[in-house]
Amino acid sequence: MTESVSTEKVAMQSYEIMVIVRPGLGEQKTLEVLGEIKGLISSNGGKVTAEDLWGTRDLAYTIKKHDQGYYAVFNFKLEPTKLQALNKPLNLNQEVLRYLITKTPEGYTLVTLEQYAEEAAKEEEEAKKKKEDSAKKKVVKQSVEKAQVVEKKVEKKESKPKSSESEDKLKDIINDPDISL
Amino acid sequence: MPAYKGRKCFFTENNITYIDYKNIRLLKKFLTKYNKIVPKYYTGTTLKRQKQLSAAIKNARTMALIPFTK
Repeated sequence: MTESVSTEKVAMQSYEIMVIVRPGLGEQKTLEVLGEIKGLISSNGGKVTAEDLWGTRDLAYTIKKHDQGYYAVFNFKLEPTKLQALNKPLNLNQEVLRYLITKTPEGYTLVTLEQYAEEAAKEEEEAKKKKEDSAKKKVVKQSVEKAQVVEKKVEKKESKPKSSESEDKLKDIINDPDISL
Repeated sequence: MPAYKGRKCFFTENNITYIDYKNIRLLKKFLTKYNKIVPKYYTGTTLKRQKQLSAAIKNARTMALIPFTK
């Protein structure tokens, strides 16, 4: 049993790496750095399957006194035992501010930043439409309510003379000389 | 921040099985205005997805996509 396992080829696992490269290196140098990282993966028997360059963008907080960073994402396949070998060179690389290696599930395809942006734009449009629709409904509701209020007012006006009638009666009673208060 | 009443797990409703740390817009739905993770008793997220979600948010934080605090 154990022999058959050892002779079997170790299954490749799919991973994803995100790197933040120091900004202000110039296009050529950043691409060189990224090429080094890709070379590192392939030299360990891995295979880069997909890549997405985000470009320079603002960091949520400063890292090593940098406000911006060049983001890049690679999907690659590698034997799990070889994964540790990536850490040391990446840590030693002065141009790499930070990196993150994650496992990706089976059947995962890289979703690029552009696709997420498109999704976000679509969602926003839908939200806008919903808002407009609800606003229209509100306007209709308000107009209906206004009409009801007007009707009520009319009713009130009609009811007013009644009260004046009762007042007249009261006055009559008060002014009646036969009744002493 | 989703409402407390009538809450339902966002991920089971939309058949999302893998929560990507790169999808910042999605993650921000589950953060308060001080960038804290909203508890699952407010959002209605199932335990499994909440664990994945918090891991994704923490990954996004280390990569400076989302701030830690405000």
